[in-house]
Amino acid sequence: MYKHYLSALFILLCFHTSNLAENLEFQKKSDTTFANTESKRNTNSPNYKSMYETNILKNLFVSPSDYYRDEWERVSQLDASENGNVNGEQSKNPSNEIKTSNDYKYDESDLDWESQLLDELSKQEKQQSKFENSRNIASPTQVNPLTADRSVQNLMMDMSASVDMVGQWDNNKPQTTSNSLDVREAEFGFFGAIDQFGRGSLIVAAHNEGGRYFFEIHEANIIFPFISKYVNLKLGRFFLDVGRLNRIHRHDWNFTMAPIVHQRLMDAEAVEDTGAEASILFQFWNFMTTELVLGVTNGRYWGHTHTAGVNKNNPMMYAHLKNFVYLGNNWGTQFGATVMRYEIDPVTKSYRMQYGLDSVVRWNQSMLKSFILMSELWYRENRYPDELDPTTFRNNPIPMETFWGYYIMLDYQFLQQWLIGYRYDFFNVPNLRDKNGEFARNAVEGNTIQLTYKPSEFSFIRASVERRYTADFSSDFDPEFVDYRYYLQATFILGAHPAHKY
Amino acid sequence: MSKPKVRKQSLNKNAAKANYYKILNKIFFPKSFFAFVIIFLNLTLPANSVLADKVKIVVTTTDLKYLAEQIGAEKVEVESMIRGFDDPHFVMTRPDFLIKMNKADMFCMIGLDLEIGWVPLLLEQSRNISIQKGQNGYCDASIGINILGKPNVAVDRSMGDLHIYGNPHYWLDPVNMIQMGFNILNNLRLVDPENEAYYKNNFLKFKDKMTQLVRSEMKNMQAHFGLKVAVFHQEFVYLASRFKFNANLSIEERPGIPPSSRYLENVIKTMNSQNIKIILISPVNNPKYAEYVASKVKGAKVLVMPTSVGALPEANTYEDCIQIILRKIREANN
Repeated sequence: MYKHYLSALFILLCFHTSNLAENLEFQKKSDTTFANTESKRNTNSPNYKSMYETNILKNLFVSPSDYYRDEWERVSQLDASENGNVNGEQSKNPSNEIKTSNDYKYDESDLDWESQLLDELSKQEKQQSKFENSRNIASPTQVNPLTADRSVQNLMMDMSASVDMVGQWDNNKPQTTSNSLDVREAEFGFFGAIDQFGRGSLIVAAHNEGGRYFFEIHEANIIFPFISKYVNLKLGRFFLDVGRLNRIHRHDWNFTMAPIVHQRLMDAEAVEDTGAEASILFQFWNFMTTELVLGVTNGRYWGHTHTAGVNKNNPMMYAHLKNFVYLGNNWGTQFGATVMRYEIDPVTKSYRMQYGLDSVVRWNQSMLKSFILMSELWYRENRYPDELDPTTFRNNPIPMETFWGYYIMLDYQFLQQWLIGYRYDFFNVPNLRDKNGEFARNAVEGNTIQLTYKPSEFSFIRASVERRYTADFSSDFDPEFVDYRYYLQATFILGAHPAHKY
Repeated sequence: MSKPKVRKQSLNKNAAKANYYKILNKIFFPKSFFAFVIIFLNLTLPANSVLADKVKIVVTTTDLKYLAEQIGAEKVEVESMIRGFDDPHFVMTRPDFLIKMNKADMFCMIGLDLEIGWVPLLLEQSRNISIQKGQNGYCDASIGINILGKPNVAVDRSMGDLHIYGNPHYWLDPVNMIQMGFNILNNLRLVDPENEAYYKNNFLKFKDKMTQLVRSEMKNMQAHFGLKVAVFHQEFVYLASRFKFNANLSIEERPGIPPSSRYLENVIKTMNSQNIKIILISPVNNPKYAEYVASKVKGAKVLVMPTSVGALPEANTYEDCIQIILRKIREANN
């Protein structure tokens, strides 16, 4: 019986030896071919190397499979084609005419470009015939898989998170800043189409207020962009479209701290409220575009609050007329005027009228250079009804309170990622009186310089220094002083961030 | 006795005053005041469904303008939002764009997120529903294009402004221009169906023109097949694919981000080792990086290319652009 086993073993051994011999022959051939190919390509292509090494290793243990035979044929073909010889015949294409100034070896099939072109045009024509009268929302036929697949974004809304960190220091006594680095604000935004009529946005933000973070809704509104050919309507909670800065979120400002006039009259970040705002677009002349914004909001409070405010007799109303003058393709301009009416107290019927002028001039050269010159002027009147004198029974007028101020800012992008800026601030209370009832001289003036490094549109780091002069002759204590403040801001945005309005 | 009389008079006076205000209110603030405002504003607008003499088309780039003019010819009025030498990635939006879009019957863009930073918001603010996505007047020219440069990995912001749907500079391949022309034709059919035959005839003529352009330029380029060039931004990939040269080496490390000096040294080494002597840039690119690299590679030339119609003064048509680009490459390689 063992003779049978021995003879079977012998046959297997012979078979294996013959395979081994075949392997070695294949190996020798493939070594030469790959070496030739490698030297001709003069590349260090990892694919070729790994294929070569895999062949050596595998052929030591297994017999040449179909894969290796195919591979052998493919490599031989490649070798032949690079020598201008396909299937043993000299190529009819004028490969000798081809001039290559470097080591790149063209694909032999490139020379057959004419038939490839015809084939491509024919396929294109077939596809086009299927698309006739289509609105291109969906493909009426199977399209080339290499065309863009946009369906992945179906029904998705845009989401973003932005973090605004600000450090502020000074060496004044008493200190005029917090002398710390804090996350000033973290904001989360969601935007998208609601249906065929509305576009929705929800922006919630956490503010650092005295070390505690308060989450609140910044914007939650629905916009009807197509209510009319000229009008769109916004309903909900939003930053009012008044002035220039008020509707821009703080992490997108061109400076770290709010201008002094904005801090005093627009409540540091923005005047926000719930109501309705209509925007009407029209053009009287070709060189100028006009937009009129009309808004009505609850008017229970002015600016930022964590309370429900006070119920008023009249809502807050405002109008903002914006004119955009065409100066050239690289230029953007906006000149606006705002009027706002706000009821301060429903019992005394005192109310506030606030007027503003805003202007922006922008210029850019692609993404390489740009500048923005921006300015806002605000004037506020707090008007009070006459007060009845209980002794004389006569109405005595109460003098109205007035405040005004402005800022001018220039930010110049001198390199693709670097900007340098300057801002001048001024604020004054014209009818401030001292203890004797005389008008008291007063002013707050700020000069700020800043340097911004902006690696991309999704982040920046900004350092700024402010020299602030404060004069208040209504009090006897230190009526004039100058202080220096140092700021460092780092802001980043994750996810999609919608482009802001012009 | 006089009291009631006075009171009556006073009441009458008040009633008269109230009536007076009522009349005033009726005149100036009728109950349907808001409806009246809306109707008035709508009436003051040109009716969108009724076309004026010509179809008003607003496009984002000059290449689309040229294309739309070829197909629409005398029956269209085309306005491009940017010029040929402007960067379509970064456009400072202006309100006059809104007015143009507001009055348009049709809007056409390159798509593939090339204009993602400025078009979506303008479209929404245009208040023109007939050019919104999915409407007859909305044309995305990239539909049906064979896209190159699709990312092979999950894209994040660390990779710069990489377009998630692939390279959007597809108009530099004349065969793609045919498909873009077809997309415009398709929208014109829907917007102005009465002149369909006219547009189709123009499209076929344009198609022939493009086919001839490819044929003649392929013959000219045949001797340069396989040539390797460097580019600043990956915007020549479609052109290179069509005319059989290699434009994969980019000086820009990540799209939209200035290259680091370390990466530039790498590019210089590659160019030296592979004997690459030509660097292609467009007028919107910062030439300093390409010039620096060229100064470090012996015999290297920087070629400023008209990547769009009007990008250079001599590139007045699309055919000019292609011919100028390829001629410059050939001359530099000779």
